[in-house]
Amino acid sequence: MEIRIKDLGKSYGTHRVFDHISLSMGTGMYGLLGKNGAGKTTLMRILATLLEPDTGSVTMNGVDIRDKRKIRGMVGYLPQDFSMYPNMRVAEAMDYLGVLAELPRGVRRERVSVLLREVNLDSERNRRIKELSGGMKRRFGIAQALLNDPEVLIADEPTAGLDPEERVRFGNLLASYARDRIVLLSTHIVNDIEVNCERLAVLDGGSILFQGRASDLRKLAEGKVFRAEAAPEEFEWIKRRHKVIHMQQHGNRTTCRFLCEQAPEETYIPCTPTVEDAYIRLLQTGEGACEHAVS
Amino acid sequence: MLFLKEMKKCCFHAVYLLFVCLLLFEWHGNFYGVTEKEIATAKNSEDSRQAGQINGFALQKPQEGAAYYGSKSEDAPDKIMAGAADHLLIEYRANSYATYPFGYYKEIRLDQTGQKGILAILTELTGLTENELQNLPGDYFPAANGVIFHTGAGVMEPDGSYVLEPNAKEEVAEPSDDYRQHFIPQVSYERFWELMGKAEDTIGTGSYYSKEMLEAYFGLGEMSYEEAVEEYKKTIYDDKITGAFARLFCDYMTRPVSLYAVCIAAAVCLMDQRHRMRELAGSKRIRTIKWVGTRFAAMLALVLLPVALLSLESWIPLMAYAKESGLAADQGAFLKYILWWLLPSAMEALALGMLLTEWTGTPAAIAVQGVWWFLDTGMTRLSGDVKPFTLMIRHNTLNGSELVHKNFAMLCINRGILVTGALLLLALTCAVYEKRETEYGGVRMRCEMAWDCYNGFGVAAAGATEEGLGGAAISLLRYHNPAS
Repeated sequence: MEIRIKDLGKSYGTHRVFDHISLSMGTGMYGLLGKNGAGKTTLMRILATLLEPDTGSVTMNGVDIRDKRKIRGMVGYLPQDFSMYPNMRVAEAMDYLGVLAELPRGVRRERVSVLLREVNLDSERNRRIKELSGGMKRRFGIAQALLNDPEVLIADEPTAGLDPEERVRFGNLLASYARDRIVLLSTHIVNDIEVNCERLAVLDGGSILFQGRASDLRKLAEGKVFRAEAAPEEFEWIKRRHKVIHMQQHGNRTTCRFLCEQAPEETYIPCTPTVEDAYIRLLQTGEGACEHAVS
Repeated sequence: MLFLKEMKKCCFHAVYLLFVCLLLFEWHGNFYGVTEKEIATAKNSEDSRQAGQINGFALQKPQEGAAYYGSKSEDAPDKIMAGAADHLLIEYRANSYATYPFGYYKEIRLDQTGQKGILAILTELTGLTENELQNLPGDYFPAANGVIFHTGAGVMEPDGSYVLEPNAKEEVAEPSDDYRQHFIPQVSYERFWELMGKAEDTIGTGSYYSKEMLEAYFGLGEMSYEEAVEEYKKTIYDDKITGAFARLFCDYMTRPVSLYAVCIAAAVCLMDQRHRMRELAGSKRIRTIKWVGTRFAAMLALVLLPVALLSLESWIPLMAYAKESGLAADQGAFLKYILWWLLPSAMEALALGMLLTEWTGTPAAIAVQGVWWFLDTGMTRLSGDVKPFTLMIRHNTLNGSELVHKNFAMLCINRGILVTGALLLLALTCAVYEKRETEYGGVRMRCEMAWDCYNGFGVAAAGATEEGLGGAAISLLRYHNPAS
């Protein structure tokens, strides 16, 4: 299973969301990182056939994205901000969406039962959608996206608004589906990607800044992350000169973690970079690396 | 399966329940009990027809020697001219002229010049001076002059009813009579219509003095026994009893169906938008045409289902009456008329509702359909008035099956146009649905695009001012493609 995106471009009026982006994804969990408004959702909606690109091409296992019916049979989509008729009951809503997915009656009934069990919503099958909690709604979202047993699962910001425990559960749930399919996870929460995704792409300003393994992204920040414990005047000086990633106040001293392109004074302690450090540095410098060039 | 699911989803919607209530209200206020009354009258052997009565004897066989057999329209120049003069004089004296632009009442008051113009028309028509017109004899006009009744003293009947005695027996004066005592037109029929044209120009559109209005209100004559029998036979044998009632039923139902159905379509589409269903449903495998088409069919079924159920109130007693009387009845008449007369109107209202709501993301369709409905109501006469773009087929009488035969071709054209139009609107809805981009969808997207175009033209205009057409083109190109 492979998704190939080549020279993809999309604009809304004169606002260019992205231009000539190329990506390649294989089986497993793939992360798409970027700031709010970076174009992640637009890319996801193009992959889910809800939007048409202006330029470029996308194929999934050799099937052109313009063959919407075929692609929709292959894709499951969990939108960022989705809703459902609030008075419908969970099982009823799943059945309705199963009808829209054109699943035969027998298959539909079986899939609804299995999926509700898998996402731990079986006991809530007769509850109305409006009565579900945020986490339950997200689980309902993933269940409906899996109705057609898709080869590609697209999850747009699936952990937004969830508490830490739900986020971990949700990440694990998605990872369990990534064994034999592509799970494309879009988020601006770096930790979600770091924990669950082996490969990722960073989207910013309408182009791909990085694509490759998370470990490679981390490497880009090696020797560029430092820690310091500074007095107020010194901290102000650090803030003016460097990009501060974290800070913690201890009385009148501040412990901070910051990015620095050239080796600073010896008093600053070099740190092992995290994916988040590397991501922030990438956004700041724009210096990335693209592992695959789609030909 | 999807059809049933869509039906279930719509039928519990508040707007649909409101539609059913309004339909019931219209039906109860206009048609409920009409059939029972007609059957009861028909079963009553005594002829109880009264002048001015419109309904109540469609099923009753006329009895020879009865005092009254009903009324009919006829081209009677004397009656029309007398009625027109009488009505114009009443309105002139009060300086209050009724007009019905688009079918709705509007009072017109004329200035001195206008009043002088009307007086000139009356003077020429009657041969009388202003002073004579102000002091006419009591029986100058016939007592029953079309829709005008000149009444005298009232008499209390033993049963408690109050009967107004006419001033004089209905009659049109002979030409030899004195024109100062009785109305005798002093102009030819051709000149009369010219004068009425002037009156219409002075008063305004929709006054009583158009040809249609004068014929409808003053060209009424009494039916003879033979004509009444002919009318009865049409109801019993041509319409096979139920046809006449089905037409009247559809006449009353067409108004709510043609107007309120659009609200259902708008509400259902807005519900989808409010709950952002496009995101979930749009990524599913179903074809847009299948989803939109099934939803349309489900709403159509829901609109016509209560109508069909309400028709049973008339259909069941009519079938029983036909069986009792040994007459043949058309069992499918109600269904035929519902499908022929109501279905196209409902299709159009729903399709327009779906298209405009999907396109604009607002309930604008209700306003658009409302305007069409309003204009159509005003411009369409109550019976036998069909034009290619008539929204509602009106037939506000139990008689008049000949009007259907006479207008059959136009009826087919009209219904064909509505059905074709509805299917086109539905196809456009599918196209809009396919192209709709939720994030920048609806009005917002179009506003941004319009603003963008506006800015683009502004930039082009600035370029043109400085460097001519070439400058405009370059400026526009740069605006839309900053990289170039």
